[in-house]
Amino acid sequence: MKDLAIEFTLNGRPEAIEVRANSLMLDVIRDRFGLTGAKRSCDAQVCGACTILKDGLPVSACTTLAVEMDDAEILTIEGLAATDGDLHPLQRSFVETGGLQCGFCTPGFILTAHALIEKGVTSEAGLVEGLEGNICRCTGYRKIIEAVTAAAGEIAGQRD
Amino acid sequence: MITKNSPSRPGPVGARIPRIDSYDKVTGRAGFAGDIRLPGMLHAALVKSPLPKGRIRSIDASEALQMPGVMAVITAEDLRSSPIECADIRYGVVVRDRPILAEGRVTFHGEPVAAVVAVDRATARTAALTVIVDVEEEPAVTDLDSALETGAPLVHEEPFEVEDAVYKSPLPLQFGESNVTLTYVTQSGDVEAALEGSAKRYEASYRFPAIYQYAMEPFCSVAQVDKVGITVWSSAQHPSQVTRDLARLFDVPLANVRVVVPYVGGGFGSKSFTHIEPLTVALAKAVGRPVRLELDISESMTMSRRHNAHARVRSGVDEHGQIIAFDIDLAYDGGAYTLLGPYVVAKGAFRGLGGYQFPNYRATSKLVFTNTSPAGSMRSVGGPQAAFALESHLDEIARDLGVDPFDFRRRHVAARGAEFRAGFTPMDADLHDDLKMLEAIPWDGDQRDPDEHTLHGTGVAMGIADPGASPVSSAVVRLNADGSLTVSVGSTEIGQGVRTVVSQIAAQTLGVPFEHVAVTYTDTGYGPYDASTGASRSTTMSGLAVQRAANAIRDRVVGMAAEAWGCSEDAVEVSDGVVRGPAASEPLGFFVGEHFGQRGGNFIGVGEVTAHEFPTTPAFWEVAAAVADVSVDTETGEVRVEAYRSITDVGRAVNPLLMEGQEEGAVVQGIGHTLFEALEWEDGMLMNDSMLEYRVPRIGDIPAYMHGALAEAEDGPGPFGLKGAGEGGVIPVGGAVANAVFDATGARIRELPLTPERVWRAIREMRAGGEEESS
Repeated sequence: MKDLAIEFTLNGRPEAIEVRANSLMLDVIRDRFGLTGAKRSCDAQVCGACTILKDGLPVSACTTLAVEMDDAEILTIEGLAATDGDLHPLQRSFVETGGLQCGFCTPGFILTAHALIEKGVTSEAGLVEGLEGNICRCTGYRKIIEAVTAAAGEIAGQRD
Repeated sequence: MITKNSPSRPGPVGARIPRIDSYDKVTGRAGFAGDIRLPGMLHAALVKSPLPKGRIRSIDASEALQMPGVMAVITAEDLRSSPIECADIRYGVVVRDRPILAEGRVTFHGEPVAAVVAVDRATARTAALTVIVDVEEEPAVTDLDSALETGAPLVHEEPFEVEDAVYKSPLPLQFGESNVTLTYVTQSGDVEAALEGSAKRYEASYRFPAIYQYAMEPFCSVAQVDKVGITVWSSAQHPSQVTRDLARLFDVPLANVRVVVPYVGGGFGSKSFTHIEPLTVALAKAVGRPVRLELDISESMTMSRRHNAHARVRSGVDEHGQIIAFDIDLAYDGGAYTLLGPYVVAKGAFRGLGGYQFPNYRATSKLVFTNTSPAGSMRSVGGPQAAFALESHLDEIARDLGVDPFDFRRRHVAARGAEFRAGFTPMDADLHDDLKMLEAIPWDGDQRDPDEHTLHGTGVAMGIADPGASPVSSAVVRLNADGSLTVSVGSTEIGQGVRTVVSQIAAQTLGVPFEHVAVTYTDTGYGPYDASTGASRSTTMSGLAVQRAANAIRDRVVGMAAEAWGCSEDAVEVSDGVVRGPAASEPLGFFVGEHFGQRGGNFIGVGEVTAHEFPTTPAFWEVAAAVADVSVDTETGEVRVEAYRSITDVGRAVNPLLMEGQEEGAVVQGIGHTLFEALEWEDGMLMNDSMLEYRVPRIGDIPAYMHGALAEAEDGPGPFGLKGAGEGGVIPVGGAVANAVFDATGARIRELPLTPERVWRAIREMRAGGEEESS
């Protein structure tokens, strides 16, 4: 199988690599770049644990071809916090409200919520609807809802 | 006094402290077993049985072995010979019945028959698909009803060896006569005579589905074998049990087996006991390189599940409406291998009787083999199945008698100190007060406008469980020269927050700031022993061991200070990391330097909890109760839980933030098995083996209003009077919601899950029946 050359931005840094035509985005991000925050779970675009943002929109990296990263801006959970380690308001909110337990789904939830908030979704109903594609088996979701709505309010407040 | 809203003493215990692993988990830095990469590591994939039962005629791997990148294909025939050299190929927590790879015969569809090792996972999985397993089909029993029929084909004909290191079966197991492996009975009085003498009798049957735990992290294990021994990184809940199984199967001393557990992506019982670790070690020995085996979700589904169950309940009340006879007959489908089955059915018997004091009762609980994937443990083993029957049945009686469901339960619950189960720990909670607290939780009702096809209803249920299995834990606390603490426990961090909670307990005991406590990762090569992580036991048992280890250090420091300062030990106190006497004070770490004669070294405190300390079981009774408010769309049959109010008796919440998370998570898992989830087989083949078809609760499914109250009477056996928790909340959900659906619609549905179709049909049948009666 022929390797294909792709260029993209990964967490703000330019990258140029060759990938197999059938390589999955999740495998490339995890194994080539060592960014293991995106997780493999359902392999079927149901659970959201592998969520990565491509040009600001959430994609399921488990079922997306790596070649689709060509020319795109890719953000993984590792790229969300400030470079000095300061947490993004969403991350801080998950910590403070207890919006995580085992932590396996957490990067996916945070990235999906980040995309929603960046698109201007700040209401609880809007955020809950937008997070239907992310499954958490530990928390019962209440504290996740608390975390994302608090962060959305904080971020919206900063913009005003 | 049944609740304390403010901590009774200042300090980290009782504080809403964020998890210590929060930062690593929100930044993607937290490492899980699936993230481990070793130099030279190869990848494995399973070849699985195409049939539920049969004799293996041949396994043809010739095509796989020709594929570039494939290193080896291993079958059961290779396990005993060099270089793998297994001493035994079967293992199990109660019975050694599960083979590393099926040998001679397959017993369920999807059972591992062979494994491929290749340079990467994709190659291994592609190659595995080319391996041809020729099985001569034999008659199978693939559901509970047919397994119980007289003359049903037997799942297993030969007996297996017993494993009794931690879990000794409560009764001998029976093999070869029927598919019933064990029948557990607990009884008091004469239930048949009391039924005979009842003023009114009731009888009904209930069914509960098989449930997949769906820990989001699939099973993953990485093995490395060298001359020194075996090292395994695994998403295991009970690493000490995995260590023991590996030592026995590969005939190496316990000291030479090291099981390392990084963060675990959810357990809920699925990762209890040994699963794929022995196979991964065998493969690493076969190829002489580290091997990683990561299952996908459909494979993970076949490793462990919750037992589906049937229950038949017969009861009788006297002329005052008091239950005088209660008889519950449970059958649990254990699938093809035993796993924790004997415990599941025994605990199911107790959980099917709840916290009620019936003058005459009997619980009979059967473990049944079928040719389906093995059932293991899941949050409150045997509990939700039995409690759904019990709590539905009590509701049926209360409705029939026109008694308020709270009052009806209050009339029957065991009082504190009552010996309500012969030979077991007396009731150690105030169930009356707990019910009062629950009743007092306000909810202002569904604010939406009612429409003609939406009905609303309220239901109540309790869940009383006998948790805290295997009360054996050790802990090591090290006081470092700077006054900080390093805590090591064998309990694994599966998301429940044990590492945060034991830090709080150590910090509180020694008066050290919480930020100056670190907890090491679970590693059987370095860390202390712990029997298991489950059964709501970690905070109680590991916590007690940590408190004792910290107290050992405290005693040592206080003794040194009293001697140095010439005062009595009583005059020395330790707080805020400082040791204070009548005329002097020094930081805690100062005494480490004093002892060693240098500014280095550490004091090692050891704490232990042994089974001898708990002459009766359970160590405590886990108490939960709930009120569910539902809406039912009579046109579609869709049920929504609008509000869920609950109480959990925790003795003392070390960390209310984490405790609420445990409770909310348990409730939503309960909503899963109540409304959506069920593993479905057809002719022994699992039909919904992906997350596309197996539907778990999503974020939009949770009740708009949830309120969980915590009863904190500081009356538990753990440190600071705490009791374990985290499982109890799942038990009452099915009963509470089904009773609410009855309240809303008048339809009594005795089978979960309450899918739209089932609810719609029940309402239709009830209405048709009502019309017939009135016509």
